[in-house]
Amino acid sequence: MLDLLTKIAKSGQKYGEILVSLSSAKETSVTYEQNEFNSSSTGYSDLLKIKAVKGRKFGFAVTTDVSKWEDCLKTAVKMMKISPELPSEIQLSVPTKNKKIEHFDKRIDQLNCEKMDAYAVSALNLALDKKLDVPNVGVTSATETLSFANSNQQSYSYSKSLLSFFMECVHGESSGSEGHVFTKIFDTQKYAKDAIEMCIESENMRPIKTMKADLVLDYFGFSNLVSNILMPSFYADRIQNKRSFLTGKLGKKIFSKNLTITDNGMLNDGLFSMPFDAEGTPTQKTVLVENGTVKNFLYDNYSALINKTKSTGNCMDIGRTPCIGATNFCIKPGDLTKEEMLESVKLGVFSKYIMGGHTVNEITGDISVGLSNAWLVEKGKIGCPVKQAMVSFNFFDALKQVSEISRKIRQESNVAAPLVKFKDIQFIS
Amino acid sequence: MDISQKIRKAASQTEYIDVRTLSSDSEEILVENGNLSSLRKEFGFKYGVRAFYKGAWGFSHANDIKKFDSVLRDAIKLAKLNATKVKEEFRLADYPTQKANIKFKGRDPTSVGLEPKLKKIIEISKLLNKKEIENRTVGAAFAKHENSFFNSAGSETTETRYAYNFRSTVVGKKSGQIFRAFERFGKTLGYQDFEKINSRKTAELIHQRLLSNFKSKQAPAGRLPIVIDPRLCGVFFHEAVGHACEADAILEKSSVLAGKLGNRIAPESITLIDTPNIEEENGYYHFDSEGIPSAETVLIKNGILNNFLQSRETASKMHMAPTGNGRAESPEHMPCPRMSNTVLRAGTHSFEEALVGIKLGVYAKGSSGGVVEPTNGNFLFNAQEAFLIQNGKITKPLRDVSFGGNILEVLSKIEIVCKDSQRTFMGGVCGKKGQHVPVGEFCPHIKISEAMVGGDTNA
Repeated sequence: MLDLLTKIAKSGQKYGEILVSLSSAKETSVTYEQNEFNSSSTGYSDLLKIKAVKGRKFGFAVTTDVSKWEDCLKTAVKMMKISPELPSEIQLSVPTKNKKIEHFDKRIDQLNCEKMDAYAVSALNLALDKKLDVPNVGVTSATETLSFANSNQQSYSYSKSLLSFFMECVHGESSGSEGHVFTKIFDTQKYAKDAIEMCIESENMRPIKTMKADLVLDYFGFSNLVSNILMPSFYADRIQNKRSFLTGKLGKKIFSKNLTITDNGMLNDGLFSMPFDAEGTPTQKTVLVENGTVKNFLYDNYSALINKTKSTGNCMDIGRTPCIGATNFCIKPGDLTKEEMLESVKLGVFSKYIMGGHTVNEITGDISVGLSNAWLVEKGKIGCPVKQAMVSFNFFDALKQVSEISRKIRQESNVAAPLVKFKDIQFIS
Repeated sequence: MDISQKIRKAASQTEYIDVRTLSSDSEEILVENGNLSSLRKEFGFKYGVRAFYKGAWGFSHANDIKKFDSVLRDAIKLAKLNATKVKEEFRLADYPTQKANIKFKGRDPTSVGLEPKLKKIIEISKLLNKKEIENRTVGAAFAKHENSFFNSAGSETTETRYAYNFRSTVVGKKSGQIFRAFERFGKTLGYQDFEKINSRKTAELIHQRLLSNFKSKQAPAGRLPIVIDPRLCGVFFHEAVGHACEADAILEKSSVLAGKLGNRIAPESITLIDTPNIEEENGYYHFDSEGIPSAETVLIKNGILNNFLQSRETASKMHMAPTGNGRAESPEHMPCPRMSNTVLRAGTHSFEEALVGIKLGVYAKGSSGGVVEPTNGNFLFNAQEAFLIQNGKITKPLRDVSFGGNILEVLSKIEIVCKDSQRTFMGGVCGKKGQHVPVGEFCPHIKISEAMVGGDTNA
């Protein structure tokens, strides 16, 4: 496929500079619903993307039909010709090498419906043995080959595999869910057991009173807020367009000294590790916050040129200019266990999940979200599961005072995060 | 390629086969602070094949039509393999054959060049270039989707859908604080409707919304009476009630409404309907993804739970009629019960009557998103704008108001349904099981005597 992409990039050179990428993917999934088999499926998809660039103008076209690459190229060029000029030139990445990243597991590629069915059935049986119902358990395997070429003769191709597992259990009013995504085969039963345990421990929920107290957020709850509010604040285009809380805060200590954040596209076993970003720039480890001080932002080629700096390898899609995203957004772990963090809570709530993370105000950091799978904590002990509580606070203010961070981190998306404790949070019930 | 002939030939190996194809053409324009951020055109073809055998589905999909024969074989093979895992067989109930070729009204938006669309977006962006606005994004998307459906019973339908949506967000700073305002709308109409957008009025609406937000204060928190506008009302009934009425959630017992058909779940003033038959609303269609014609489904009738939203599979299992709600985002996804347009029947009260008697409460308008857990009935929504109600009058603007609670509890507390039903044209999409479908709403203002409002307990 690289030969084809190089050919496309060469064909378009008479019009301007060309970037072309091709994603070829295969996906297989098995789902069980309401304790019974529901469906299995296989699918194949191709996506060819072509960007035409000339000076400060660009156009972009996408097609699912690779054989229509000439139409796709013509469309991208046509759009480039009518597009208004950007304030700055659009630069292409130059030929550069980067270390290899191993995140293709042949065992995942070889998984078929029968094998994946066995994972789902084992998980289901664990729940049924405990007399729980399972509205949903699913296993999905995916493999993808990504290829890229540009007119500067930068090109690369790599393959990636992903296995994902999810299970939800219910018993009466209580429910528990867990899931995991990884680039290598993993033990799905561990996550099934965690979902079961959560469901059992969520029985007999009781409302709490409206109060101000501590909030200990588990990975999913915390990473939900990080990915919706904190992470996009570091994108250079948002800084440049004054659409970020961090505008004007480079070099300033605005977070707790316990907070250190990096974006690392080369992270070992990172879910979003990749040797090159979408426009062919090598990825890297970028320190964004060090002991509470804002050190850097995430750039693609276009935004980097505006700030007279270098791309950090964070272009996520050649379709937009700029188009910045995080790779593996890592919050540095602390030194406490979950038990130690809960021990110091006189009155508070430990919550696994939040509801409504996508509705928050990412610019101000103000949030009002619901808690799900949450437990009251009193004098260091986990008590009854909580029914229908909401929390309202400002996430950036909360990050200024965070003092307790767990030593264990987890990654299920592009956020790798620990548990954190926030003090003096408004609970509404 | 004669798809119908191929699947009729293969049908002897299974009980039923259907094929969905999608030829799509779409465009996106996005301008940020007057500079082009995205100018994108996407075209392509996808197809998905389902085979049904002894109570089990096999499903396979691809882009390349040259692979059709192997995709069809995969689907049949999977169906037969899956049939060995099914505990309880069910028969897919018959449905009359459908033949149709329908085109939505108006001019195909993708047949019009990008220049006039870009011109309008840039014009609105320029009108939003005000000193108090630090960041402005203005964008629009246009689509033509030609959805075709074939099944082994002989149905052949094609539905060509035109749609556009508009989005704009502005951010401003006042007294060191950041505020934002946004507007979005979308219609299943041709280009001639987008052309009619008044750039000046649209920009002015967004600007005024931001200026109002500059004066906004933190909302009071706690259990308060709340009046919600038609847009937020639509989102509430969609999220909090509609999802719980989807038959797959009922069968999975993951809906708080499971086992409650025929029970009173809301006051008598509440009649809730799902209908794709509202032309121009985002959830408008003629056939669902299973080739079933669209139909109006009364979910709640005078407060009594009356019906569920069905796909062919759930209808067969529940021995009920399909309702034309078996929808899928694309041929790469399996259909399942989904909403279309959510309609709350208008009541008899005026908006002013809804405010009477409220000493301290909130008036919430529009939506910036919401989430619901159908298993336990808990929900949470964020309003686009909100105002304090004091002694029956709308007073100060409030910011970042969210309201939540439990579906059944909040339904029982609906005191007033107003008579001012409005089409919302929010151009929204609904996400479920990893896929998104376009949906719409048509609702009036309502008053809820008490709901959880997120804010500051000291406000």
